[in-house]
This record gives sequence, C-alpha cells and structure tokens, in this order.
Amino acid sequence: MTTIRLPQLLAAALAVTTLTWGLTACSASSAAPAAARDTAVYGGTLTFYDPVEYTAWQSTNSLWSNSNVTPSVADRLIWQDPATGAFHPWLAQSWSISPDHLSYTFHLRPGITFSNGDPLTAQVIKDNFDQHAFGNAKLGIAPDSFWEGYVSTTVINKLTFVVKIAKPNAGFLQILSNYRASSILDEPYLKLNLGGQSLLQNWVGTGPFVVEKVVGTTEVILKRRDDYNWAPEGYPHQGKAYLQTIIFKVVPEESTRVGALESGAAQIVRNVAPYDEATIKAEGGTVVGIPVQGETNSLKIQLNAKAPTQDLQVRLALQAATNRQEINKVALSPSYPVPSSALVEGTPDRGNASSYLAYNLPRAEALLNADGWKAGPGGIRVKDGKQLHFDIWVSPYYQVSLAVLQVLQSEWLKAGISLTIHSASLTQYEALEGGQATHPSPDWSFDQGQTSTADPNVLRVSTSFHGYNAYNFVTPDTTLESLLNAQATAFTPAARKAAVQAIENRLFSQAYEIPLYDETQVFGLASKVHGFSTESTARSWFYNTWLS
Amino acid sequence: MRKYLARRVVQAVLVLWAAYTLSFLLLSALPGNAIENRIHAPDSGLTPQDGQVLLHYYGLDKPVWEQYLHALGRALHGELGLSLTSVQPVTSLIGYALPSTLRLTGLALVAGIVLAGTVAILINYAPGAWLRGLAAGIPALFASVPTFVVGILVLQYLSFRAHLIPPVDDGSFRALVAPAITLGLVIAAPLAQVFSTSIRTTRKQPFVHVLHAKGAGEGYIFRKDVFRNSSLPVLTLLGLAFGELIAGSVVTEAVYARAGVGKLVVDAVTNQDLPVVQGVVVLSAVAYVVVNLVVDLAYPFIDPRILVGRNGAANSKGTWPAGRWRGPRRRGQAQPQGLPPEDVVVP
Repeated sequence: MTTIRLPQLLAAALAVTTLTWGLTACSASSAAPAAARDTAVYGGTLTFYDPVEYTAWQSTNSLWSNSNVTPSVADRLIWQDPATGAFHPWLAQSWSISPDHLSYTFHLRPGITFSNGDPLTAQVIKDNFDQHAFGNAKLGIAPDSFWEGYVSTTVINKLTFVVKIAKPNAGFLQILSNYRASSILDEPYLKLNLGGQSLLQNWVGTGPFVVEKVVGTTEVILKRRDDYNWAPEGYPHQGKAYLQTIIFKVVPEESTRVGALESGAAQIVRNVAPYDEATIKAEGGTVVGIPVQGETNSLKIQLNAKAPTQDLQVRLALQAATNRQEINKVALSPSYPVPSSALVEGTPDRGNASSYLAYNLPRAEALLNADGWKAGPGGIRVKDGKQLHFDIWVSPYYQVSLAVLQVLQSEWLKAGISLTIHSASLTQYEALEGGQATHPSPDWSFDQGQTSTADPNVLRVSTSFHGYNAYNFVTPDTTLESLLNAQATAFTPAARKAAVQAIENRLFSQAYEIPLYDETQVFGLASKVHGFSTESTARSWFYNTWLS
Repeated sequence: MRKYLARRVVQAVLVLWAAYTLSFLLLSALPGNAIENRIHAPDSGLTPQDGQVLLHYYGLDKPVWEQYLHALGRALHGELGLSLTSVQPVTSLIGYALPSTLRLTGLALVAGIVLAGTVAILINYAPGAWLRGLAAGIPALFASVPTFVVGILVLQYLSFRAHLIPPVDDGSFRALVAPAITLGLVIAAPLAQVFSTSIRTTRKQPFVHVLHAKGAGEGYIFRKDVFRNSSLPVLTLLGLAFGELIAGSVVTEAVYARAGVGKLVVDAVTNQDLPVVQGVVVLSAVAYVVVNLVVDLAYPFIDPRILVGRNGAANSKGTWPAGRWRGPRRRGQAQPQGLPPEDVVVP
C-alpha cells in the first residue's frame, strides 16, 4: 500500500462531488404537460416497457408481463366492463341460461374471422373449452382449474352451442369473460403440444392486434388488424384499433423505465414504484393505478400453525392494531385504495367490512389484556412466560411487501406485539410455503397474498377448505363453507351482494385474515397517451388507446 | 507441441463434464423448480394434480440419476433441453442472447484494455509528479464505483437528458458504446493496476539501466523492451478478467436492458429454470476453457523462456515459437511481478 497523496485525495473528492451533483440533478424536474386533444387519432407506434421477462405463452399464463400482451391478441365470448362488472356481448352476440343454471346457450356473432382467415365457429369454441377443462396429457397441457365443474359443450350449428356445467355457478359468465380462462384461439394452436403453445408466434386469435414479431423472451411487436370489426357491444369505439404498432420490451431496471418515459423512449411503463410516482407526475406524465379485482392483499392467518393466532381474541387484536391508513400513507401512495372489504375496490358485489377493519389501538390492548397477555420486558406482552411474538416472511410476489410489513411491524409493537420480518429468495419462500400444508411450522403463522378474479367467487376458490385452503384450516369451518357455496347459487344481484356480505361478516368476525392494501397495478403514461384501458383484472387492453 | 495440445483438449473435456455434472447435482439438490414454483404461485390456478401433467412432460417426475443420464446424452448431441419457464429450447434462448453479449463483452474488453493501458502509461510516464499521482488514483476510483451507478448516471445524462444514446438496446452500435465502456471500467481497474506496477518493476531492472546508459530514449525502451516484459502478468489477468466481464455483463445488461446471456441467467436463476442455468454454466465453462487455452498458448509468443515441455526440459531445439524473441537474455533475471506461469526455466 502506498500512502495517499494529495492528488489522489483531490481525484476522489472530485468524483464524489460529480456524483452528488449528478444525483441532485436527477431529481430536478422541468417538462410541463402537453395539451390534450379531444379526437382520437389513428396510427402511430406505442412502446410499452415491462419489468418482467416473458415466460411461456400458454393461453392460461397469468404472469403480469405476458398477460399485458395477450388480451390484445385474443378475444372472449363475453366482455366484462372493468368499471361496472357488467357483461356485454363480444364474440357471442347473445346467450340464454336454463332455469336450473346448468345449460348456457350461446349464439356467435356472424362474420368473425381469425387472423389467418379461418371463420370462428361453434366447433372451435368447443375445442377451446374442452382443452381448458380436460387438458391433454399427450400434448402436455394441464387441465385449467378455472374450469372445474365443466361437463361439455354441444355444437348445435355453425354459430350455436350449449355449454353444460355440473353445479350452478353464479361466477360462470365471468369465467367465460376471463382472458386466461377463455381466450379463444384457432384450431392450429390447440393442436400444438406444450412447447408449441408456449410460443406467441403460434397464437392465432380474433383480436384487434396480431403478433408481428417475438424476439426471445424480451421483446414482442404487435401490429393492428385492419379488418377487425367486432368490438364488444356498446363499446364507445368500434372498428379497427387506433394504434398501428405496439412494441413491448422487457426493461428490468426501474430508473431506466421511469427515465425512458420522461425522455419519450417509452410511452407506457408498468409497475411504477410508489416513490417514483411523484417523479413521473413532475415530468408531465400520468400515473394510472388500477385496482386488481379479486381479493385484497392480506395476511392470511395459518390456522394449522401452533401459534397464539389460534386464539380468536389475539386475531381480533391484531386486526384492531393494524392501521391501514398509515400503511397507505407511509409505504404506498394514493394509487392504492385502502381496504374496506375482503375484496378489492371495484370488484362486483363486494361487501363492506369497514366496521371490522377500523384502526383501534385501545380495543387491541383491551382484548389482549382480557385474554391474559400482560405487559412484559421491552414492551412485548407475555402470557404464561411466552412472548407475544410472530415471524413473517416477505412475499416475493409483490414489490411493496417489505415496506408494508415494516410499517405493520411498528404498528403492532405499539400494542405490545412483536413481529420479526424475514427475507427469503423465491425458492426458499416456495419451499417454506409449500411445506406448510404438510408439515406446519409454528413460525409460519401468516401467509401474505391474494388471488385475482373480478368475481366474488374468488373467495370460495381461495379460502374454501376444498379450494386453495388459504387459511390452512385443519377441519373445515362449516359455517363459512356453506356461505361460500350459497354465494355461487345467488343469481340476482341483490341476493349475491347479501351472500357476499355474509361471507365477509364470517371472515372478519373470526379475523381469518388481516387486509393490508388493495392490490393495484400502477402504470406510468406519457402525456401523449390517451384512452389507455385494461380488461377486468388490470391487464392492458390496447384497443382504445391512441397517441396525440 | 501436439502432445501438449492433446493433453489440454482432454483436460478441457474433463472440465466441461465436471462442470455439467456438478451443476446438475447442485441444481437438483435445491428444493423446487420452475414448474413447482408455478404450481405454488398464488395466482397460478394449477392444482398439484394438474402440475403432475407438466412435471411428466418435462420428465421431472423421474429419479434424478435417470434425469441426469438423459440430460447428459442429450448434451452430447448439442441439445440442452427445454426451458421450464418459456418452454423454448435452451440452445435457441442462448442463440438469441449470445451475439448481443459477445458484442458487449468484446467491445468492453477493447475499451478496458485501451483504458488500462492509457492509465498505466500515465501513472509511469506522465510529466509532473502531480499528474502521475492523479493517475495513480484512477484504478481505485474505477474499482470503487459500482457498475450500476455508472450505468444509471450515463443513462440519465447521455440518454434521458442529452438523447445521445438510446436508453435500451435497439441493436445499433450507438446503443452498444455506453454499456461497453461501463463494463470496460470493471476490468480496466485491475488491469491498469497490475500493468502499471509491472512497468514500474521492469523499469527497475538492470537491463533498462544498461539501455539508458547506451543512450536509448524512454519511448524507445518502452516500445522495444519494457512493454513486452511487463505484459505477461496482464495477459494472465486478462484470462481472469474474462470471468469478470461475464459477471459484469449481468448488471450491465440489466441496467441497459440488453437481452444477453447475463440477463438470461439472472431470470433463469430467479425462476429456478434449471435447464437454462445449466446451459449457461456449460457455455461459461466452454468460454473459460477456450480463453485460458488461448492465453496459455500465447505466453511463449511473448516470452519464449516459458516452455511447454515437462520437467523443465529446455526448449533447446528452439522450435516453438522459433527465434521470435529479440529482447535481452539475462541470466537470473527476475520474473515480472504477477502470476508466473508454470514450467519456467532460464536459458
């Protein structure tokens, strides 16, 4: 080692100064929003940056990056309005449901063609549905769990068919409108094995855009289909799409995505972090937060874990000690709705659980005192010599998880509840989570997560003992199970809403889960982007988007 | 010579087999894989029974040894299997990624060498002690500023503000320059350090004093004698720097959104896409073996005292590379600092 001399010190100092100056300049802002235009313009190329590498392009893939591309390529029988939850005719021009709610008769809109020129027929629909429901072991295609309870599709004539299901399901129309469960693709695609179905180049759909080029797993180019003329009935825009070309690119680095939006290299970027939202707005862009319909992002209590959470009073205290307003303010942004139900804002027929979810520290303390948890060393409560302590692993699926849990940790500490946060790689997390069902660990008392579907039936899929069993019931909660089933056979909106409310009352009076925030997709848009919209679960649908 | 080459090739094959087998065993020992991750993901909609169909499709339901034999047999035919996440052949994924990475690392290597050479010469020959001192601080500076910081600053100024370069790879040469220089900095620091030290050591050698005494100028001595004598440790380091280039390309490709091997492996590791990880391991092993073979074969061209024969048998026949060395031959001359290659004899 030589001794440091003045010139070296100077060089180092110069470098530090340059860096500091550079970082300060980065946060400075300039641009002003461009004037909006009222009339839509045809043409132009939109560049969309996504942080996540594309994986296999099977039609059932719901990975965020893939599913922001595919809805623009393939249509469904039914369009679900993301704002109202109402169903509108799309590839099917009308349908009727039998009185026993087991047969659905559909009439296809005439004149629809796939991008290869093939006409859309009842037979193609049948083959799509059969493959979803039954899979095809020879081709390596797994059955799609969304299609549980499907019996058959019978072709009546070229444009008419009847779908039969085994049990009444109030959520069935929604499944038929769902991009990952019911996107209609042409025969050549269905005949491919898993490898073939995993290539986007092989997609032959009826959508407003067609696949022009796929570069490895990092870039996709879609181009407009000029003869597209079957937009959902009643949709404000009909005929061909506005954009001529859409370029999707994988750009993992957050600052590059935000910077590219500012510099005009990209027009839409996905997954804007809460702390970048202000930067985008300051540069004249728009931040669009779209709640992902389905369950809120919550801590699901793991009832098979031998932990204090097996005690209802403790669960209720945890609920009361959780301040969701503060979580929103400190770790998130106004783009994320504060949960007031087990379902995300905008999910059709969702209930209202605000009374269960109010922050009430005195109540939490009173509940714990009454339950025998007394103040102990370090402010942590103690009962029978045991500390009121929990462990939690940061869920690797959500970019805001860690920040949210850190706020929660400080909130619970105020009530004398200790929470240790562990970080794990995706692999470790999967192993821990997967092992929970068979070898429950007392430390795995919470599992953070949500399932998205724009229908309250998602609660049954996720929480039922016979579904994903998200709370890891050891024995089924029969009250809850019968409520979950009742919801699926409530066919009028009023009855459905009441049935869902009853489920929520049960979930929260038992404090089976602690909602943290409404799962939200945040997009950053350049000022020249207009008419950006998504399908019902917050996946981009570029049919109505245009550039000024 | 032929015997030496044959030995090296056999060595190379063994290294490749060991790399393949070890990586297979290590990756198999990890819990889970991409398919199981997909089955367990909260939004997957796959039941464990459905997952069986997928596991069977990939042959992941077979015992590990059977999977290994199958994979090894396939690898011998140049096939590396299917990616578990994109269901595309690993060879075609690498085929997409490799050209971009080769361009990047190739240009980065050139940039790194030019930069390192310039700095090393400045440290030793710049007029004025203060300038030499300033230059001496440069390698430490390069080494201590992380690649992603350089990358982000370069993008901020040259791309987002000045619009001189595209922010993500568009296939043009213009998009390649900034990432290559960013990556070049990574290897420039150690190269410059070693090269400048090596120059300093060589210049203290008695033969340099003799040349000075004979009236040769600094420039002449550097070009004719010092450069060659000092470059041996640099060459050794270059073989190692290659590894740093691959490692550095991971970060560089992420920052500049370049679809290369670095990005491929990061995503594969994150998703536990074992066939892809293994494919990249094999690719890296091939590259390492080839680069180090080339480096070893290049030594004698620079310093004929390095012999390829065993037991220090002198290269008395002077066959390879014959008579190319016109530098000073001095008994007992010290090796330049660095990593002396094996089998050195002093004629």
